[in-house]
Amino acid sequence: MALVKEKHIQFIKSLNDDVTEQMIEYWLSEHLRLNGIYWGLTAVLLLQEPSTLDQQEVIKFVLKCWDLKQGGFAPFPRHDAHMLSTLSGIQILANYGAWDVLNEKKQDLVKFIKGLQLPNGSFQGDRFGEVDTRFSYNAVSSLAILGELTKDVTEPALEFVLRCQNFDGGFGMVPGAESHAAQVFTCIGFLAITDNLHHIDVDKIGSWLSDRQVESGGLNGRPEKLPDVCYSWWVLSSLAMIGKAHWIDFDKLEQYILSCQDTENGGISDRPDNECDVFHTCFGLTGLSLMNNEKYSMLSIDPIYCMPKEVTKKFDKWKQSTT
Amino acid sequence: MVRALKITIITCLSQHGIKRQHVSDAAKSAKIQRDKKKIAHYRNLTDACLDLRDSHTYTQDAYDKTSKLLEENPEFNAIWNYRRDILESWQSNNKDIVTHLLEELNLSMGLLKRFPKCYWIWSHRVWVLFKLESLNKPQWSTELMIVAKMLEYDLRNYHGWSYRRFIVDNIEKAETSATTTANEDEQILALVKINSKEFEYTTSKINNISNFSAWHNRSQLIPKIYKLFQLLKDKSLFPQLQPIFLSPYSLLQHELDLVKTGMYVDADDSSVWLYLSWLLTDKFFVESFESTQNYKDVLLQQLNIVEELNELEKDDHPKGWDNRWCLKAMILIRTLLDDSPENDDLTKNWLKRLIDIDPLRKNKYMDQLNGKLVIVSI
Amino acid sequence: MGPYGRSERRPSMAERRPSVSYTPPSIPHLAGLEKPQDPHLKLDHCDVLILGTGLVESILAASLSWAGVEVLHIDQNKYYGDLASTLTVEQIKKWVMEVNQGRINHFQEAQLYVPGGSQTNNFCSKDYGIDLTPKIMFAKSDLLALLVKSRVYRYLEFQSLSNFHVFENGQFNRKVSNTTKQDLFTDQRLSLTDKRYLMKFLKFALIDIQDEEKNKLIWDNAKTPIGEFLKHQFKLAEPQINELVYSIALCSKELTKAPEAMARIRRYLTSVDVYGPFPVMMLKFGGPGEISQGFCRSAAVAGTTYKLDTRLIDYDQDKMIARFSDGSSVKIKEKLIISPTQIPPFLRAQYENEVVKDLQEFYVTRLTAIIKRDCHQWTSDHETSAIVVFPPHSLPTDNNESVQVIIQNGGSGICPVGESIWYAQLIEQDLSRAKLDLQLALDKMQMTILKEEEEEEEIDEQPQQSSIDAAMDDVDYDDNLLKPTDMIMNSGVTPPSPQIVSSSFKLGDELNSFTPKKPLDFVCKLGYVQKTYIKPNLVNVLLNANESNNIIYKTLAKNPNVIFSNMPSAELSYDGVVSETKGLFSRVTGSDEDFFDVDFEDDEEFGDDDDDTPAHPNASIIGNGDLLSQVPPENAIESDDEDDDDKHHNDHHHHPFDVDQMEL
Repeated sequence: MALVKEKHIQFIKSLNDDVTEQMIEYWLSEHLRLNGIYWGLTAVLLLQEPSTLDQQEVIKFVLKCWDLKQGGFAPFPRHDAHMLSTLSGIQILANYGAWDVLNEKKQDLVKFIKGLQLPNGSFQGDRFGEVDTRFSYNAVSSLAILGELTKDVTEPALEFVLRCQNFDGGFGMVPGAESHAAQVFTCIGFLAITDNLHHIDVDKIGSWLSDRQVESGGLNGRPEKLPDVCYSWWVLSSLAMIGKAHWIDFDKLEQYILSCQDTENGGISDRPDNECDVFHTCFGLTGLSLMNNEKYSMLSIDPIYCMPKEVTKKFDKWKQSTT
Repeated sequence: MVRALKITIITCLSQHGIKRQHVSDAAKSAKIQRDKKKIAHYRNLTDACLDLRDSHTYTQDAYDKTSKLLEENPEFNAIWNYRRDILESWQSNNKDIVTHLLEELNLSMGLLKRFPKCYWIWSHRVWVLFKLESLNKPQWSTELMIVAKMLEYDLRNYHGWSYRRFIVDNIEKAETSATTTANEDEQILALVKINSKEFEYTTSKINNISNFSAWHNRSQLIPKIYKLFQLLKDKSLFPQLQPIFLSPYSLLQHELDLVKTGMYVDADDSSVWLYLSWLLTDKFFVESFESTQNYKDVLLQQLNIVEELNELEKDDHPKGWDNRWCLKAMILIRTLLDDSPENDDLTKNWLKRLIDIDPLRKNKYMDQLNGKLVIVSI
Repeated sequence: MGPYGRSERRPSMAERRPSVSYTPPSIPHLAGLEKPQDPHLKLDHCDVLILGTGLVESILAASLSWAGVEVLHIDQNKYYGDLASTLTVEQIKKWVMEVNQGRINHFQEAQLYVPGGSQTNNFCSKDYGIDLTPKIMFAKSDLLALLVKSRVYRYLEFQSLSNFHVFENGQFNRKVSNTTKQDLFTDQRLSLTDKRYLMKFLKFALIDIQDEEKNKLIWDNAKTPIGEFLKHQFKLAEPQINELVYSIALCSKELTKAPEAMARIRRYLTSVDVYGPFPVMMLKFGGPGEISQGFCRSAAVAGTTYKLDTRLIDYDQDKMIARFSDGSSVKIKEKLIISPTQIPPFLRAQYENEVVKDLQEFYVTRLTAIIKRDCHQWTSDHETSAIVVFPPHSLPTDNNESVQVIIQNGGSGICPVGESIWYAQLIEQDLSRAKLDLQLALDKMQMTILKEEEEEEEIDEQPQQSSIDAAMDDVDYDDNLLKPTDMIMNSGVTPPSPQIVSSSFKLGDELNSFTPKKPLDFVCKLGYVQKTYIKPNLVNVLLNANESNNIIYKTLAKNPNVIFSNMPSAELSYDGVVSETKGLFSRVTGSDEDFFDVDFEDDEEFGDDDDDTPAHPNASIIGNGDLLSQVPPENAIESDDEDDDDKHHNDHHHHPFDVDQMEL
């Protein structure tokens, strides 16, 4: 099966049409809007069709999501700032290279993110105390993109992330929690950004990650679960970060992702013949890009930041030794 | 409205495991007609709540409105935040909020039933529980029961298992702080009681051997309980646990027995094999052996068991193939037995067979075969 | 009130108070039941006339009405249900008399035994609801799917059934239902090798069978009896084979061929964990009778006209005019559908000569007993029903076919608490032999109950704590802590491990040496024989139903508009019911495309200003009785869990917000 590139562009575009606004789901999903834009933008950037989204409108919208009280990005205007939407906002601006729009907001952002670190090194998602290794990744990724990562943040944060590793080599949401491929991505991503990969046994976690591939070629997130296209990204990027991407079968994964396409209306779903969405469309495409971007004339994706490499190559990469 | 605002993830919310349907234009416009009323209602409610929030209104009426909105959309994080602010404001105005906090538990329970994977609901519940504890009305033991129910309906709910460990942690804290004046023995007794119940809980949950979540939790509990058990004065209070928790060795034997049954029931179930590799490699067990020879004896015994099972699997396979997990376990065990596995012909032979029967991971096996990788995990 | 208490009936579903807090939005009233009916029919025409309010006819009436067909639905009885009725003891007395007078076609040799006089056997007739053709419902079945789709489930209450017992070597074994990895892992009686072989078989039955190549194995063995197939292909041992064949698959013959038996095994296996850990559901307050009433109500909502106690006296084929016993006449524009028990005299000869003449007959002999004992020994905690099977050759009569028994105790709403009803049935074609087999099977059950009770009395004298109590202590379950609205799984606690429950089960003791100290008291025993033209393996309904083998496809030479429906099959489950109804539906409308193709979405608007939060779609199907405690919330079936076809997606009003746990 071929990649129905045009259809996917149409699909992302259709998320932006007048009909959509008349669906109740549109209104019920405000809390993920900024993340949704990031997923859609990543997809069209990889497909080299950035004009699918109107850059000026998107940037305007990102700024509308600014939470003046907290100093971070909310997922939607009038909602509250959160670590999850803040990273999406920063990623969108970084993709567009639109730093100038931030102005003095940049220092507020740094303050917001650093302010969410707890004494044990972990990060909460907002002021109400939910702790999760996802937020550790959000924090260091945001700060790294902003060029504001510092040792006083990374050192305690590292200690916490390492406490979340399990006997199988994987990572969980908090210390003691079961290994989960998406949490593995956030933790390995954290270690990669903070130049700390040498702290873990990459063979062990690599082995666990390679066992996520099942007969259909798809990848699952935990032992004895069904495959899901989004793990194409979480698992494959994690393996790529530790230099073991070849431990899974690319051909079969490629076929699996392609078989999840809706060849009629565009979009990619979690499993073949299921309903499509921008989340799985994004992570199906990032997976394909990571395996074989040239074959599909896609931009090459950075496994650490989940953004095109041509964007991330401009970042000042953090090195333990240089700071 | 700005156009970009319409970029929606309309479907990403719900599309896990939902069959794709190509709806006709007629169906679409019928839906649009139906949705009109819903959207008007939802947007009115949203605007009303956010206006109240912006005007710092902390009234019962505002609180009730947020309940209504959250019932319709529990993912609306900003509304949970507003709700917490209302409660905080009531508390600082010396209003008794315990009743309201209990109401929060009710509301969030009802929502968890419908949305068992919604982060915001779980984390709101945690916030409420801490609040209640700070008001000396802890609810931890009720929560343990509730999460047991949740896990009956979804054995692998990731939130559920994390929540369970979180609750147990807090029960422990409550127990130990309640006995500050009392002696340490009582504290230890209390801790063993709590954790042994958890141990039994995982025993009942690993009955479904694919439930790796339960095996995982067991791996967390065993070293913890063992340590506590050592400190326990009267071990006869736990007649069932006593023989098992006698030593890491007795624990190991007990668990290896379970694993053997599990691997016979389904040799393709990875949960059991992962757990086996923990048993054979974790320093809790390994370091407790009196001598290297004792450790080697256990390894050899396990190697025999797995090889025997692999022979049965081969007999039953139409093409006479080995079982992938058996081979992996055999390689692991031989590696543990031998310092230089990459020179071992038997291991090499097994790796070659793995390349044939498990082509998805052939590159990993090639790396192993070429000595690029020390084999320490299954 | 006449000598047989003619106006006596059980409270209908609209009159009963639901047994749990869940209340269906409203239950439409039925003419002649809760609502008086017009003495004369007020309509002068309709598209379709249906005689008899049995299960198939009621589903047909509802499906036709919802497809826009004008239906007139008539029953000659004063109650709904026809041959699927749930009757009181007094109603049964009258029914038995009518059967023996030859007035109820296809039933014969009815016997009713009510021991003792009014002083020694005191009972209230209305407390009992006896199903004439009792059935069990697999959780994954077309009828259940239809109940959900048609929303008729909202009028019904469901209970779970998970215990299947096999009588073997003079004793009852609780079938441990080794049908999940969990069972296999914990069953102490099985050797590791047996566990392994069983697991391999289960994987074959559930997964491999969907693979075309592996599936071939079954068709290569199309003529192989299932026992042989399991023994040679899967190395299973005899006890496991018997469990699989007679209790899980409910096969009645030893020589059932592999394909049929495998389909039956799969029916059970795929039903487990659909709505909970049990495979089978029972209707509270009665089986087919409740369902047919439910569909009649649905049909009434869609516009069907109902009239009871009315007979078709004449039908003029040319003018298409039907005349009724109440004096009215109605023009029937399309078809007449006639239940086999309500064939009017003027069509009787045509039915005999043109419809059933060349068809093979099958007799089902039934023996129903109401026992003044609770049979909790057979049921699981929190359940009210069980299945008991006597495989071929297990009885001293050397029975040829298996005797299948449904046990329902008081909690099922068909008899007072503390009592139970046993429904036994058998397909044996030698009727005198059949009666003997049934009687012996019931004797075995009686003895078991008596023995069990005497032992319980002995044990009661010693203080004891059962293992289940001990297990529950540990968990500190207290359901009072939870409000009914608080949890979907509020009523009844699923015990932490089902194996613990089974340890209190003592039916396994041999009966041979036991002589009871006192007899078992009966309210009554009822025996009768039913004739059907549906083959016991349902092949002439499910596979290749056509004019040559199935009543519903026959056409009368003189009355081409008349169609007859079938008597219920000998099948213990509802299998075949939907297929047959669809067949009738397409005979009327030309195809079954529109069969219940109804969009009900509008009546569950979300965001209406009433405070009535719409019931959770699944909360309502299970929002009743014990099942409330069993069913997973809708999206507990998570993103990366099994796909489960349509069962959870039938009536979303809006989607759950299930982002899973990995958005960043």
